[in-house]
Amino acid sequence: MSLRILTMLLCSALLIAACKDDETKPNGAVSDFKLTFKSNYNGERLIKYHQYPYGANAYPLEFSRFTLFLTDVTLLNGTQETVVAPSLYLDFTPDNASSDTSAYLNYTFANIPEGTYTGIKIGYGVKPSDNAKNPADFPPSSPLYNDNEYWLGWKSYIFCKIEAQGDSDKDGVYDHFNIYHCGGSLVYKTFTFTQPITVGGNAKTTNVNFDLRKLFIMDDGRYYNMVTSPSTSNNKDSLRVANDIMGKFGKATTLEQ
Amino acid sequence: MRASYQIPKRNWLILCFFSTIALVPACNKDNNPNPTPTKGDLEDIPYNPQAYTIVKPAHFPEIEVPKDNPMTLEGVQLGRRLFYDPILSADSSISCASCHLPKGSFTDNKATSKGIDGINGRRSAMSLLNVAYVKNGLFWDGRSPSLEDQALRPVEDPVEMHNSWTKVVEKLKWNKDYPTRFRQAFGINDRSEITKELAAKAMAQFERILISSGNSKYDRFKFKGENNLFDDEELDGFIMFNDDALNQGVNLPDAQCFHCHGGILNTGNNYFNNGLDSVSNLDGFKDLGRYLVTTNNSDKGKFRAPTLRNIELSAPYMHDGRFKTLEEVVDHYSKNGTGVSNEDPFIRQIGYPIQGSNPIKYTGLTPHQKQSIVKFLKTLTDTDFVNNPDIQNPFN
Ligand code: HEC
Ligand code: HEC
Repeated sequence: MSLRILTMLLCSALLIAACKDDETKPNGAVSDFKLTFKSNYNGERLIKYHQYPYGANAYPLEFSRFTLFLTDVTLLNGTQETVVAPSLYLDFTPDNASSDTSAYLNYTFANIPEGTYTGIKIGYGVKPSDNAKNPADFPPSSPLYNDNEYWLGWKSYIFCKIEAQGDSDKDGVYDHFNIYHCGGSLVYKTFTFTQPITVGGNAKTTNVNFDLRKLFIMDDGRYYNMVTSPSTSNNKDSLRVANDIMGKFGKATTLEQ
Repeated sequence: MRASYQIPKRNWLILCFFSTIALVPACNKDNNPNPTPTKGDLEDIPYNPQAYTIVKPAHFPEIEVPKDNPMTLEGVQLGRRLFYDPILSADSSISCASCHLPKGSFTDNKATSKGIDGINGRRSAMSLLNVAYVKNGLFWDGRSPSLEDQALRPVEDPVEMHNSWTKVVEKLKWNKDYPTRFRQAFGINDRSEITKELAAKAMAQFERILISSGNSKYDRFKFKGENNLFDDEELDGFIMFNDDALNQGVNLPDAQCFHCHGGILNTGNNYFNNGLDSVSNLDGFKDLGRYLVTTNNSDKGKFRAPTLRNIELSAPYMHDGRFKTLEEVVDHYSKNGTGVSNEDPFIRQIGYPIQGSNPIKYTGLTPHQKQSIVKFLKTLTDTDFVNNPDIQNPFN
């Protein structure tokens, strides 16, 4: 190979690399990237034990727990991917809260290439390769160390926990108690959201909102029947219920910066 | 390998030096019996702490040790002595171990415990097994953030040791043995540097070695591949405890236990209302539990779900010791709660769903199913732990 061809090849390779770089880090600089996760019900900040109108007869429904694992929260720029968080455990209703108002969970990820990204990709649950391991395989600093969020029976993390109770006949007595604990690699979901996100400069925090109401609105617009499908616990329906709920996170998630 | 607990051989000179110092206070006729310690009076004692590796079963998670209190053999030994030494109580009558005895898996097997004044506390002593793993607040209500903080509290608690740390530290300073041990564990230069914080650190180090042996019947069955170890009832209990009937293809109801007592440690150390009390509103609880810490209304009557490892040995049960036997405990759960608003939803779903009930109600458990769960709970018994020589009273 002549030296000229080699030089040309090298130059073009450099150019390609430079072009690629241009998309996200024109100056190669890195910055903090701030994410805040919020849980809502019908657009309002979720409050534990607050009565929300539910179903066709608008009966009172209360939530008591909402936790969620996320995997590979990834900033996108065309086909280029920057993983900002390999694994997160979000507890919106933590045991140490001093009020029933759900927590805003703030994260700052350091050293993220500056630039304007086109969107974000989020894995809901624990990705199969991590889910095949168990809590003792992770260091205490990992969200996957928490063995309380693991079910030996399924050999899976509990991707999402939503607990609720309601008074479907409005007689002042709760009559359904809901436990939606979703897990198992089969119900792991990934959704991509298109949204310009800037990292660097005076970029604001990016909010990721999960709206619980949208998790329980079916495709035909009706409310999910929490009376007849009260839980994911050991019934033949549990996988379907878990899959229904996990599958709705795409619709239930909104982003803003 | 477990580190051994041989008392280090001190050299004669140092011993003589200390006996002299120990005599000094006795001769002092002054009102203040303890003279100011000489600066640097411990400096001649070697300070070579040996790092201590906590022994844990391979299938147990890693143990987090605070950076400012690394484990050392000398620290653990000192902590063990303090834990078993009544020197901490005002009338030298009780030690930590009076309420946390090895044979009760570090409880006293009493509904509530009496302190030095014979007054009963309002809560039952907690098992200290695997306490190193508790990250969500110590005590039934989680009011203490760490073992280092917790260990400071019983000494001044009026229904426990009813003493003051100033007095305890004074006693420790002039004790014939402790100053050397504080030097060896923490490198202090003279006895005036003994503090309650160092005493608490040492006790916390000792408490961190109170880890399961990993040899319970359950561990051998579940984690060590001895698949045929359980009899039919134990196996049924195990399946119901873990809501695993569907996966196992057997016809057994869910007992829901693992949701709150799950994982390798048989607890997630979270706070729940497990349906013990029927109250007309949340203010009706005799003990407000977690609310006392968070002041969050919906935490009234919630308590930490403790580990069920060694539960057979730590009767009676619950924060107030209301149940004498495991049979009574399982009877309680089989009733599906009392309907208080912040009761955990799992408490209402124990047993089979009753077909045709709308909304769905649950059957609870049959006597045989309850018996199977109790038998399963007993597979969690870990006698190797309670008999471990390294954690017994060092003064015996
Ligand atoms: C008079 C009996 C008594 C004495 C003495 C006593 N404790 Fe306790 N201990 C208790 C009781 C009762 C509780 C639960 C109290 C509560 O939740 O309010 C407890 C709880 C604890 C806990 C919390 C465990 C957990 O899982 O949260 C630790 C750790 C502990 N004690 C260590 C000690 C140490 C160390 C000492 C000595 C300095 C000591 N105790 C002395 C009765 C006693
Ligand atoms: C919703 C969560 C939850 C579920 C489900 C649950 N428990 Fe508990 N458990 C708790 C809490 C919280 C406590 C402590 C309550 C207190 O002392 O007030 C507790 C206490 C206990 C105790 C006494 C522990 C001690 O050291 O005194 C035993 C034994 C026990 N549970 C066994 C079981 C069994 C068996 C099951 C299944 C049939 C079960 N639990 C289901 C939350 C739960």
